[in-house]
Amino acid sequence: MKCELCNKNDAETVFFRPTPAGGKEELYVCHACFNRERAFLQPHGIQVAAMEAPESHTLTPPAKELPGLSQLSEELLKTMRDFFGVNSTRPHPTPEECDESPECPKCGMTFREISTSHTAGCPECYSTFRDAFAEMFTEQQGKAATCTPPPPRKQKLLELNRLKQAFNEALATEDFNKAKQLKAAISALTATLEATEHQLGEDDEQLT
Amino acid sequence: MSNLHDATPEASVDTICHKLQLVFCRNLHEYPFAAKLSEGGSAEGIALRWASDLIHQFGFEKVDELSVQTDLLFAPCAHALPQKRPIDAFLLRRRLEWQGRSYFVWCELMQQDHFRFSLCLHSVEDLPILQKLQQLLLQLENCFHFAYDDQFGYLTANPDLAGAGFSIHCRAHLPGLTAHDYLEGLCNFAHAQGMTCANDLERGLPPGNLFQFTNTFALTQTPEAITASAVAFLKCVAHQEMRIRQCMKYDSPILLYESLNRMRSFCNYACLITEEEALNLLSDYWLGRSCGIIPPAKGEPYAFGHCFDNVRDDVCERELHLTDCPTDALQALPARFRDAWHERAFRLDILRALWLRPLGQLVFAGDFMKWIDLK
Repeated sequence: MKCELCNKNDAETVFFRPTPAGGKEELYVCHACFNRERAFLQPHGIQVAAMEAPESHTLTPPAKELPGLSQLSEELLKTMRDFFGVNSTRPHPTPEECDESPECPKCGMTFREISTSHTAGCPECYSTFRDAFAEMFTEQQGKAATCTPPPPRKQKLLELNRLKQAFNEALATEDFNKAKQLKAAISALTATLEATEHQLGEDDEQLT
Repeated sequence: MSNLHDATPEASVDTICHKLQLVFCRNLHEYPFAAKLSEGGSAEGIALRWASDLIHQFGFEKVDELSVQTDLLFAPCAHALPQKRPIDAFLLRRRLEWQGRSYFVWCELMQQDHFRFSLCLHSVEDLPILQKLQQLLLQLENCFHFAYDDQFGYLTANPDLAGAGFSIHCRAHLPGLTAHDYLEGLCNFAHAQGMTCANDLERGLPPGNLFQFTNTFALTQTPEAITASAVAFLKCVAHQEMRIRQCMKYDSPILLYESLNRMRSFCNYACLITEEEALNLLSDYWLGRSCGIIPPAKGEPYAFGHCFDNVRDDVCERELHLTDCPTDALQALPARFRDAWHERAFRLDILRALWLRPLGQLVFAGDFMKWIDLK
């Protein structure tokens, strides 16, 4: 018997597809179609995201509360979040860290402002709030914020910038031996980059 | 297309996708992002200098000057509109040839990010051009020191795009999934695949059944991986959509013909119609064409001649008023621009412009239409 959806592969399993009338339709399908159909019916994070209340609607503890109640309620909330998997989509900043590093020295933005407006102020913000960003990325995306290795040419450019910086520092401290070595390294790297650029230019000319 | 179900995955994706756009966001290391730069009032001349570098060293040409407050559709008339927050912002473009076809790399300077390079694809099979675009960006790195962090990758104003600094946008026409109430499942599936559905059913059904999908994050991923993931998602969605269209064509042809007749009647005789209604009618038209009920127009894929009983009549030249046509922007324009618009305000053109507007890449809807004509 052929799969009732693709009519190509052999039917391997039964799939109960919901009908608009509210019933279920029995279909004999192959595994590929089964997985595809099932993927469309599975609920995922959108409900969780929809459940999440905006920041302004979060409950605030009463003015007079029993000792330890706040800690207890936080633990309870954390347990519930872990249970329902809400933690994975929590976009909130960490207030403690915001207090520790209140403002970006370059643009003056706080991490709370960044997470609220979802816009960083300058590249320096990422360095200033590095831990907070790393935590936010880990929570949002479920994986650690380890950068993928840059392309080889990018690596060389980064290396070149580092060498130039070290060269300037060596000159400033009058360490001329080191400066000489660094200059040689810079020249070699620049030559490599120019060769690559020449190759890219040729490719571009061929294209155009 | 005789049998929608037998189409290749790539052809199915091309059928549902009306626009596929690759976007790279880059910022310069030593400057704040565009919003902060304009707040501080120190943006004067910077964008102009960058634009000059792009033009003289990398073969870009200036297309337009942008303003944050401008209605982007009317960017050619942007200088005539009131600007609350003047900021130097430019739109540049550079031609890129690949496999005998011509593409434009568009660069928006000083929008959310300092540089926003984008490229619209003709088909999902053109995705290998991504490598050429990356090569161009690497060449640019010689001139510009893009903000890069060893841990996070390329730094962007939107933290979601930090990492690769890359996003892929796809605008898909999904009348079948909409009609069969698959949208919640579609959104869930998109979330599971790392994509975001721009509409997300928050404001009801999108007009014209046009959905926009974008990758949610770009951290720890390469542009190639993001693209592959997006294409896999689109193939899956296209397969479902084609299957449903096939069912609609053979199981309930009367309903399909009825909606097409309704579309035809409205397009012929309506004088006042909302944009949403018009987009929904055009969605029916596009559905009928993909199902093979309406023959495709030769030469102009986005011509809507078949909307009308007889194109040779003057029917298509009767005026049609869209109640929420960008009248606000029109009123703000000087008279000569309004006249220029009304001279062409025939229903065929209006419907075509309306359908193409969400497909156009921001400011150059007009260029997009010209490109479609040339194609």
